[in-house]
Amino acid sequence: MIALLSNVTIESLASRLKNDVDVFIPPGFDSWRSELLNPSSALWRDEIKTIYVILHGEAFFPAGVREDFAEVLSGPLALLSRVQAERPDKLFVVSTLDIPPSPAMPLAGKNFAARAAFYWREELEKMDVPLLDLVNLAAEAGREHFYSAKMWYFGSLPFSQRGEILLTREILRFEKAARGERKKCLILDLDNTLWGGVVGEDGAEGISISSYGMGSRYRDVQRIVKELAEQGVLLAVSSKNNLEDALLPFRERPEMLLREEDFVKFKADWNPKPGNIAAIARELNIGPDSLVFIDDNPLEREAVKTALPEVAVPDFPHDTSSLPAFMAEVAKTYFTALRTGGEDREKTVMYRTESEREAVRAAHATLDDYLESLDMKLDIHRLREDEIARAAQLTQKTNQFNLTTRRYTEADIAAMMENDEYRVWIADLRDRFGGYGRICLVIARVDLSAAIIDTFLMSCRVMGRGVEDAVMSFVERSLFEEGITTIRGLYVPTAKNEPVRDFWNKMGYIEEGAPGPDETTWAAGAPFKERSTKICLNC
Amino acid sequence: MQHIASIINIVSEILGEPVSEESSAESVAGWDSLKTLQIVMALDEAGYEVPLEKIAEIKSVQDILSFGGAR
Repeated sequence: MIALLSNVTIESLASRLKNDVDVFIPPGFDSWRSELLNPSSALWRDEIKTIYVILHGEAFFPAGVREDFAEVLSGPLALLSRVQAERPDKLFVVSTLDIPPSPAMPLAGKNFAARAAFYWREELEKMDVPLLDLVNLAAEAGREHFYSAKMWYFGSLPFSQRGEILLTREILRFEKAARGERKKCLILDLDNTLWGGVVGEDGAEGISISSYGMGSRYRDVQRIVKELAEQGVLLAVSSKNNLEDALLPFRERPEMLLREEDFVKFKADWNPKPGNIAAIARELNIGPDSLVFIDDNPLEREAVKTALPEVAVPDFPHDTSSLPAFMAEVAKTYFTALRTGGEDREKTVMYRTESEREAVRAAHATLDDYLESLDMKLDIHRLREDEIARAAQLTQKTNQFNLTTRRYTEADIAAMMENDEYRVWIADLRDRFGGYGRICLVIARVDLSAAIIDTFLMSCRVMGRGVEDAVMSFVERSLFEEGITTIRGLYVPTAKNEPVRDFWNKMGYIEEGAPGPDETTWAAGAPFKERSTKICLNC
Repeated sequence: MQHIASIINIVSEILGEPVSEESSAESVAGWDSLKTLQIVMALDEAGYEVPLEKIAEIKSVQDILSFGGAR
């Protein structure tokens, strides 16, 4: 459920959203401040996860924007900053302010409206608040179409029907991002997708890619793809080509923004694409429902849709001048992230380093020797505030090594940190090839002398190294130190978590029963068993 | 004639059920002031302008047809 707060009439927008999401709007007009200040407001009930504060800029300045705009805005900004700090269990989304300049402004005058809007945006960016960019929505639609003077004067409702529909779409996009429903990997065709023409026939010099003119439509497409990679989207190639032809443009055309190393998988051969795409998913350890496939050839798209219905396959535009707009839409539809994650940016490097680790693995005779040689260091600690986003992301994204597959939002995790019954640990792994980031999350719920493991999950990138043994031993030790003598574990099978079916048994837990048709519970009592690993813990 | 049909179409779409020239806020369940507002917004986008002063007087499809002259 979401809440909408505003300084204008918001009922009509709420009614449009209600087809897709439950919406709460507080009673009263312009009540957003009093609701945020009221600790017993219905706003704070548990079902409401996201609070959207949609503000009409002009309503802040009934007498026009003057030099003192910062004073006018400082009160609302302080309030937003305060509630965001006090209510970590809610996600706040705040709109930017769209304020047209005064018509009486001289051509060389001071544009206080633009300054006020920029000041508002800058202060909110400092708070790390997700911003609903009303200014950009209005600019894309044109203010004339986005707003309605008639509605404004009749009912203090600034938006037109078009404006409300655009806002509805934008809010639903934010909700998808808030729930962590983001695809992981973008698989791209090459010929007539990343450049114009067919490199196998036209040669590296003959294809269309350039910094200006006709070829720049492909350069613009590549720029968007590159920016997605910087936000943690994994890139892969699936192209029917000879590998050496397919690589030529990357090596010989400096206008190419994308480089070979931007891709975690590069499949250029003559095999059917559905097989190659399934292989990419398997090798990256991600599900086909995490993939988006882009190809100009309708036959290839159809083949992939038929063989792999979980893969998202958007239609390709007919006119090549709309390619960049198409790619922008793909980025917004499938890959919107709530915030920039530091881990995400490093991911491509990590997946590539995995190939180098494979090479070392081949050189070592036994698994133990190999694990020993990796020089693994695991840092495990209680979750810190700045790690909430990553913890929520892990619960949203981890499918295979996940015993209960409970999906939590940032707000849920924050609430657990406030709650005495919960213990949340996160672990970070490094080895001599580099860091993996925070890859393991454990949530335990404590009740007197017993604890139940609510969540135990781990990124599949670090499976098979004994990380789970090291983490479990640490968790048991910590719980034992605070007087816990019984630990219970839960296994809830899903379509994807078969790899951990035997987890509790391997950990030495005894099966207790089956609370649900598919669930099993397991238990172990103190003294808890020590497990030997090749991992150095917190060193 | 064509305008009447397309206005009735728009009204039906907003109210979520087919209406006729005889329908009114009293005869259609759920036709409240919010719906009236959304009908005016939709008509606006389609080029039929109900004057600001007349919005509050809308009680029926007949009212809409007489106020909402094509632009």
